[in-house]
Amino acid sequence: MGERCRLRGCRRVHGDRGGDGSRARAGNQEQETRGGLCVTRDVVVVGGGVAAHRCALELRRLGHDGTVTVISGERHPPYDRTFLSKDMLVEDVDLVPLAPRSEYTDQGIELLLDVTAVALDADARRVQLSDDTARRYDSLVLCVGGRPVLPPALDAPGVAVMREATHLDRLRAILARGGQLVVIGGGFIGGEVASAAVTRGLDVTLVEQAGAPLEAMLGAEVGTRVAALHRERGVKVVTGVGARAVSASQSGYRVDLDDGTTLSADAVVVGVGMAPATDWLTGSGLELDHGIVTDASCRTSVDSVFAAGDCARWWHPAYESLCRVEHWDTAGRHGTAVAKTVLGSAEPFMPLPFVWSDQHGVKLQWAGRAAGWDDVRVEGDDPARFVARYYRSGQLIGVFVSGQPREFAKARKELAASMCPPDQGR
Amino acid sequence: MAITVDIDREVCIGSGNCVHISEGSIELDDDGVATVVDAERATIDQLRRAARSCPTAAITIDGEQ
Repeated sequence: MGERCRLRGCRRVHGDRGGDGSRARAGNQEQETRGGLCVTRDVVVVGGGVAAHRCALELRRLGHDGTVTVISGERHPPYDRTFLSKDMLVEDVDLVPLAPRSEYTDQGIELLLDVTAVALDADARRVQLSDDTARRYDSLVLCVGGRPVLPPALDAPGVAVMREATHLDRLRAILARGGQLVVIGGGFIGGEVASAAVTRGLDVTLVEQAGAPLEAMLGAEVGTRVAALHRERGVKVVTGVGARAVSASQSGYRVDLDDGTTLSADAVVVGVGMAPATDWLTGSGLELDHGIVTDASCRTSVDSVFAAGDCARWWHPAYESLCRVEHWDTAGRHGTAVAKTVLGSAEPFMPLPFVWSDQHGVKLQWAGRAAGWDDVRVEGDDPARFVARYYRSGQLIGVFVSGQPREFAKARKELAASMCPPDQGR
Repeated sequence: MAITVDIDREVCIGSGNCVHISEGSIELDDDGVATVVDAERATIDQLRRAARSCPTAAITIDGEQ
């Protein structure tokens, strides 16, 4: 046990990193646990979201007394991103910081804002930054998140996306102007934007390529209920047809759909997914495959480099597969987990993925493994009040609940109890 | 005026959103469950936002300020 490290297992015990995750190796053992001591001095965390924030604070909570530097491309210290597509589109409220600025100062955490990492030299343990400076590290934690996907055909001047504070002003201006809004993509973000816009009196059309909003993830039974919720609250829902092109003119926008029809709009919002912000890491030696590949303990394929949050595709021992989860709650827990690994723990990160959404005043909640279900059983026809359970080979693997938080809590506990690595039995 | 903040421990999953929204009125306890430490630290608006923003709808606010 290291003198400075309060973690159990500072002398790393390698866990099972079988399957695809075995390609991500842990090369930092020697450096970090030399002589039984955690000797990581300088930790650089790249990212400004909840994973980066939690990682930095957890390092301090665990007793790390070397440097901690957080490098964020955003102008604001880490803030609550979930507000952006919820309250902040309906009310004129400020960003909600995850901690007061003074907390970073008090904890000796250096925040470098409005600076992006542009290149990684893993051999020299240096990150090159956009301001032509570089930072050396003993341990590097990548919490770089992602960027909204905006296909070129849908990218006309003024088209809005939603992920960060920088996107908020444009979207707020759109909602303030009113008129006709077309939202392309019926996922959680698209649904929340549509909900906020119709609440503010806009004439909203939601375009979803699949048969219903959220259908790609949750199936038709739930998707049709979510579509019904939108329609009940005044959103026009166009399903089963994708948007082919968006063009802007002085009079507004024209959205061409795959079936040859067109929609007119005063504004267009695109919410068709997110891509990990890992372009700058190509050629760095890191294994990238739809995200930064790590083992179960957040260790990448490169010595002393770790990854967590939306950008990371990690080996989930209970699911026995690589997972990338783009949800706030999981990202925060991932940030805490990676801090432990940096300081020498080999504890696997094994969360029950969870996401919630507020749409039309209804709490939508999901927990579980989003892929691989073969059966869904839904109780309740009211789109504002139903429970859907997802099974694979008869075993509960996920639950989606509309408007019944207590039912969700019960089902979530059942899921959590059933989730353990196969080698630990049940 | 007294503000009553009720947190349903059975429903809370310890996401921690209420902690930063409520200016420290609410903290996570050793079990990772949200617990009120001092409701007066936050404004009623912040507490209501914490309740509305709770991912699991575990928080109920009553009272005026």
